[in-house]
Parts: sequence; structure tokens; C-alpha cells
Amino acid sequence: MIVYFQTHEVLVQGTCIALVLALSIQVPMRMGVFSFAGAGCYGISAYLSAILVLERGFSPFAAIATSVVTTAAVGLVLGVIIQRLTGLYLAMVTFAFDLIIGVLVINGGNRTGGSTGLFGVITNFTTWHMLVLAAAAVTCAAVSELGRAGRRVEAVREDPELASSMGINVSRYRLVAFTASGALGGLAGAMTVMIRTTIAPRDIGFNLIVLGLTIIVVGGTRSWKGAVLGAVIITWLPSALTSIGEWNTLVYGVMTVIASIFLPRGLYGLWLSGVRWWQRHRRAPAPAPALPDDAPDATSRLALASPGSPGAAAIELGEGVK
Amino acid sequence: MQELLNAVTLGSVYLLFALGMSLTWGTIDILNFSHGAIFMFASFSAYLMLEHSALSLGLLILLGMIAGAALSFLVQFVVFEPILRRSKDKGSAEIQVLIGGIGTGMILLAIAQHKTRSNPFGLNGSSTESTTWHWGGAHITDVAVLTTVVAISLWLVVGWWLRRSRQGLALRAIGVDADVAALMGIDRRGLAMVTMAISGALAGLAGILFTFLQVAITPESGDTLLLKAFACIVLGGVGSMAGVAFGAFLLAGAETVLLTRTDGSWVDAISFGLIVLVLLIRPSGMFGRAEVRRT
Amino acid sequence: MSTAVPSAATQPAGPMPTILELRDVAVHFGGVKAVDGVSMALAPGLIYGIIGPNGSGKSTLIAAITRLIKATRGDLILDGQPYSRLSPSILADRGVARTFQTVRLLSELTVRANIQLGADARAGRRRDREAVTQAIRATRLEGYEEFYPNELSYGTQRRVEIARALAMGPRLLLLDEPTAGMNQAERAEISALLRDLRADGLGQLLVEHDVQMMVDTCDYVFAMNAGQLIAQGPPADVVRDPLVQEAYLGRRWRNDA
Repeated sequence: MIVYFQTHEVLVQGTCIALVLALSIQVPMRMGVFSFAGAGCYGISAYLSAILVLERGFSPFAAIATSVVTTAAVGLVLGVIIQRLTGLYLAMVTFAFDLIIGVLVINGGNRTGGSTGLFGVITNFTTWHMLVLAAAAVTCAAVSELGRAGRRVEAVREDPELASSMGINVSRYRLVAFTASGALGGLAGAMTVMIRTTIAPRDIGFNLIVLGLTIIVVGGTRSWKGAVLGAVIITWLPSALTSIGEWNTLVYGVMTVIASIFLPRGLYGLWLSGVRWWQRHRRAPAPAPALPDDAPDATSRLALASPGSPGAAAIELGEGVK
Repeated sequence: MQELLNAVTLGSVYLLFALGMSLTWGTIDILNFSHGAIFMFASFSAYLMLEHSALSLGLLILLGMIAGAALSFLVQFVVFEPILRRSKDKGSAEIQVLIGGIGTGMILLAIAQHKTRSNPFGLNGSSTESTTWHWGGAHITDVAVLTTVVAISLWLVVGWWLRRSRQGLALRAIGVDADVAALMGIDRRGLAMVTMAISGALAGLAGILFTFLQVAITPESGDTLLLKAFACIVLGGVGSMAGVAFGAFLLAGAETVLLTRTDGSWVDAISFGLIVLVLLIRPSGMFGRAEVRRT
Repeated sequence: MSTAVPSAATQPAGPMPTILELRDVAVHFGGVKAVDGVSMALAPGLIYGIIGPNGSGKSTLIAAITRLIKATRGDLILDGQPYSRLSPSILADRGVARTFQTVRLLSELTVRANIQLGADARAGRRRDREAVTQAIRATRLEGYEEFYPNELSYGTQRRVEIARALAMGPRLLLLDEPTAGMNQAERAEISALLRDLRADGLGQLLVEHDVQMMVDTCDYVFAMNAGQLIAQGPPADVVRDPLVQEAYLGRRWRNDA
């Protein structure tokens, strides 16, 4: 097991990064917030932590912690500004945000290394550290799916008006979603630069969004289990099918298209539907209502009209006039 | 003066490209994320043809339009229609169409990348030589003039078609309320296919002309353009013909001015920044309908 | 627009404590006056009804009361404290629960989880499980807990909605056409349920179409038409009111009656 791990260490790293990145899109999506800001925060955090290590000699953990807190704040501020937007428009603004970050890092001069980026970010950060951090992120996501929090998140996504009438402050949940997307994206970015020791503009941008989205679409949109499943598949599949080689993007594209048509909830969602179908198949259908269905209303109602008030009967008849 | 000419030319390309996107988005509610890849791939197909024989610009344009129309039609038929058929509600269908479009774009991108190794490719094998005209210290190529003329005429034609023709009216009805339109006997599916084909043809046309103007494009060019098209549509308002033209020329103007005054790497940020700004201040754009949450 | 002072026959004597009060509430959409100056005062622990033909503004009024729509003018007061500008989620905190005109259950959650969503709204956690069990018992949903909404009949789904509202432990329950689409037997059962709840001290405001349901269930009724209150009082009186009859049936019937 350990030997296998060591020979595939790069893949394990890739999976961790992809997983946390995917969570940065999935967690807000579960609350109905379609935000790609995680990818932009990935970039901010990667560069910020690199700079902190290179210029200030931060330890990798201090750099990561600082970057994550920073990007969480960025996510929150972004959320406050754009929370009124819905669906597609929200997605597009966050997409634009990501690309602006890309432009900023290219134009950052010596600080950000321009088009070549930064390198030499050497620390004692290891794959094990990465696994621990990824596990922590997954745990947080998992907790948000359980019990009271899980139910309320579900309500916020599926029916915000209903959620309001249940006393849920929908706006606050959405802001939490934005903050989480910033923090998770930041974690992924910081971990990446610590492990790979370099960061460049071509590492951030549209491809991150594509990667994260593909993972969720294929793996599952509603649960961390789907994100894990998707991350593993997307990262390990190309190496398993060695004949693909450079056709990576094509395979991802085909998988994405197929998933978008046939797996609206991803593979994990498919699994869940199967489980539910099986459960329903095995148990008896819902009990019939206690009282039998009656004859059509009109006759019954007339019978119940109180005597001596012709008005009442007249009104009931008139109910047909709607 | 030169700036103005450049801006007008660039704006025309944006208009042609965004027109197709606006058409499908404003009517059949399909935001086709592979529109950019189709734009690029039409040009790529022409490039492949040129490896065998030197064709004229006119023929290349025709080829590009056919490629674009065919690709868009295929995407609608193979990807979007099945999604719409199977989906339970509008919200999830929207996301799935988005993702399906992204996936399709990736496929086209991969094919083009494989062949060109992500290097730029152009259409200089064409038999048509471009001539440049000089006018008061500024110069403009005939292709640029052609692009502008074509863009504006097509914009007018599409706008007229939407307003006056029966199919246009049917399309707009679908855009307002698809269910009622279906009840009125409108063949949504057929119209959707036709609209996508038209949209694709426009993308193909834009692709050929743009490649000629820029001398070369890369497989990734389509994606950047996608976001800019989105900016144009959002600036002007979704579903508005006047809006998309307004947005296209405004964006092109802003970019051109920035290009000549700064070193150019900030140009892309303009469209991105504009999107954010417009969506925050005036989400409905200059001429369009609003999409803001109430809760 | 008379201020609503319930008649002595059904209201306690002396100055009346009110749980919910509306003062000249209006909701205008552009040129349309969906609600046009409605005032009412509700005493705690009674079942009130709002009746009126389609388009009379009943549901809009409920939406305004629950703050899902902004009232164009007027005051909304709960327990003597105005809440006209606060967000909708404030009502749950203050003990007001509601059901909706169309069944709004979360399709991904079981019946039990849906009801728990109501209990989640309670401040104190300890009594959550109890609240859910009690709500299930009150609405006779034992045996349905692990099913999903799409497996249930319409009437049963409605009961789950009511259970969810009950699990919130409210002092005032707003029900927007709770028996729409039900047959006579189901309606009678809901009516009995609501009266039982009132016996336990739960005040209610019921929006209804069915006049018989109204007569059987409510202590006091407000009749609306075209955004205004046209009559109010004990149900038997309101039903005989000529303006109400005219609203439902037109002028000819009124003249003939």
C-alpha cells in the first residue's frame, strides 16, 4: 500500500488539490449559489502564500493559514457585493472575477513574476500534510450536510421563500457560501504552491473552473462524497487509460457531455437514486389516507348547507364561478 | 481616426459573434458555451481545407458558415435537446445545458489543439489577397470594411426577421413563455434547431473574418471571445438587438482606447470589469429585462 | 375601511389583547391595487378566516403579512411591535408559522426530515425531537415518516406541511388555502384538526375558498373583494351579508335573495 502510494504520490497530490477545488464550487452550489470565485481565490492564495514564503520566510502552515483567511474575507466581500444576482449572472461575474485575478498577476511586476510566475517556494510541506488538510476540508463540508445544518442548506437551495418562513436567514447562508468558496479555493491554491514550489499565470484561470466543474458534474453535485468520487476519477483515469496520453481534454469533454445529459446529479447522485429506488421497491407503498375518497363535492356540500339560509347554499353553488 | 476605424472593425466582429449568442439566449433560452469553440473550429476547418487547395475568401466564408451551422445544429440535437427532454425543472436544465456546452467546447478545443499543438493558425493560404486603403492618415483593409458591412447588415436583417416574420414572432413567443408558445402550436424543437443553425452560421462567419483580420488565432481564442460576447449582451441587455450592438461597439471602443494608451495586457480585464460593473449597477443592461433575486 | 373590532359575541370583554394587527395595509403593483387599505386586529387563540373570490387579494395580503412581499403602505404589528420593515425570517422567531397555497415540501428530504425543518426553527434544541413527534401525532402521520413527498397523496402532503408548521411551536398559524384540492372527508378532518389546535391555544388565520369549511371552523371571518374588506363578523353573519353575496354571485342574485 505504502509503496503504491509513493509511486503515485503526484496523483495523490493532484487528487487532493482537485478535491478541495471542486468543493469550493460544490459547497456554495448546494446552497444555490453558482459561484466560481473559488478559482480566483485559488490564484490569490497561491501567489500570496508564495510571496509570504519567499519574501517573509513564513512557514508553509502560517502562509497557508494567512492565505486561507485572506481569501475567505475576499469571498465574503465579493458575496456582499454581488449577492443580489442569481444563477447565470452570478456565475458569470465570478468567472469575470477569476479572469481579472489572472490579469492582475500577470501585471504584478517582479512581485508576481509576470508571465513566468514565481518559483523556488521550498518548504517542508509534504503530501501527508496535504492529505490532512484535504481531510479537514472534507470534514467541514460533510458536517454541513448533516442534521440541522444539512436540512437548512437544502431548504435555502430548493426553496428560499420557504426557508425564510422557517426562520432561516437566507442572505446569511448565501454569504457563508461565498466565504466558504473563498476559503476552499484558497486552501487548494496554497496547497498547490507549497507542494509544487512554483506558480504561474497559466496554472490559474479557466482550466481550474473546467476541472472543478467536471469533477462535480461527473462525481456528484450534492455531496462531498460525489466530489471525492469525481476527483479520484478525473485525476486517476488518464493514467489508468495510458493510451489516452494527450487526449486528456477530449476525454474530459466527452465525460462532461455525457454526464450533463444522463447524470444530472453525477455518479453519486445516480447511486443515491438507485438506493432509494431499491428501498421503495422493498417496502410497502405509503399507507392509504385514513378516510376513503368521497363522491364529488357538489352533492355533499349541498347536503351540509345549513337550513334557513338560502344565501349559504347560493354562495356555495356560486363557487364554481372562479 | 485610426482608433475609430479599428474600434468599428473590432466591434463588428464582436457584434457578429455576440449576435448568434444573443439570438439563442434571448429566445430559446439556450446559453451555448460551445459558441466560442464553434467560432474557432469553423476557422480551423477552413484552415484544414487550405492545406489542400487555395480557396478564395468567399468560399472560405461559405465553408465557415456551413461548418458553424452544422456544428451548432449537432450540439443542439445531440446534447441540448436530450437535456431539455430529460430535465425536471428549468433551473437544473439551465445548469446542465451550460455544462454540456462547456464539455462540447472542450472536445472541439482538444481536436484543434492536437492538430496545431496550440500554436496559432491562420488563413493565409487563401487565394484572396487583401488590399489596404488609405484615407486621411489612417488605413483600413477591404476585409475590415467587408466585416463591418456584413456585421451591420446581418444585424439589421436578424432584427427585422425577429420583429416582422412569423418565425421571428414565434421565437419571441418562446422567449417570453415556452409553455404557452407550445400550447399555441409552435414547434419549439424545430425552431430551436433552425435558430441554433443560424447562430452557428453567424459564429462561423465571424470566425473566418476574425482570423483574416487578426492574421492568426489560437485554439483558445474562442473562449476569451465567449466572455466578451457575454459582456456585450449583458451591457446591452439580454434579448435586445439594439443592446447587443450597443454592447459590442462600446466594448470594442473601450478596448481599442485602452490598447493604444496602455501596454495592452489590461485589455481583457476591461470586458471582465465591465461585466461586473454593469451587473452590479444596472443588471438589466441598457435595453433589457432584469434578473435579480427577490428573497 | 373600518378598523376591525370583533363583535362582542365572539370576543372577550374589555380591552382586547391583539396578537397580530394590520393598519391600513396596501399592496400596489404598478397600477394594480391588489390590497387596498386593509385593517384588522386578531386576538390570540381564535381561528380567523379570510374569504373572498379569486383575485380579491387574500393571498397577496398573506404574502404581505409574512413579508414575502413589501407592502406599499401600512403597518404590520405583532404583539404590539411593528415589523413592517423586517425580513421574513423574523416571523418564525416570533412564533408565527405558515403553510402555502401550493404544497412546498423539500423533495430530497423524508417526511420526518421535512417536519424537523420546522422544529429546527425553535430556539431551544432540547425539545426538538418531542416537537416532531407531537406534530406527527397531531396530524396523524404515524407510519409516514420515512417516505418521500413524491410518494404521498396530495392530502397527505398537505398534512405534512401543517405538521412542519406545528413543529415550529407557533402561537399563530397562517394557513393559505389548506384544503384546496381536498375532498369533503379530508376537509372535515382538517377542520377538526384546526379546532383541536385552537383548543390547545393556537391562534390561526385561515384563507379559504370553501364557505362550508369557513363556517365550520372559524370564529370570526373577514370578507375581501377587490383588495378591500367588505364585511366581517361571525361566519354565519358574513355569509348572509348582501355585499358578500354580490361579490361571489353578482348583483342579480343579491336582488333576488
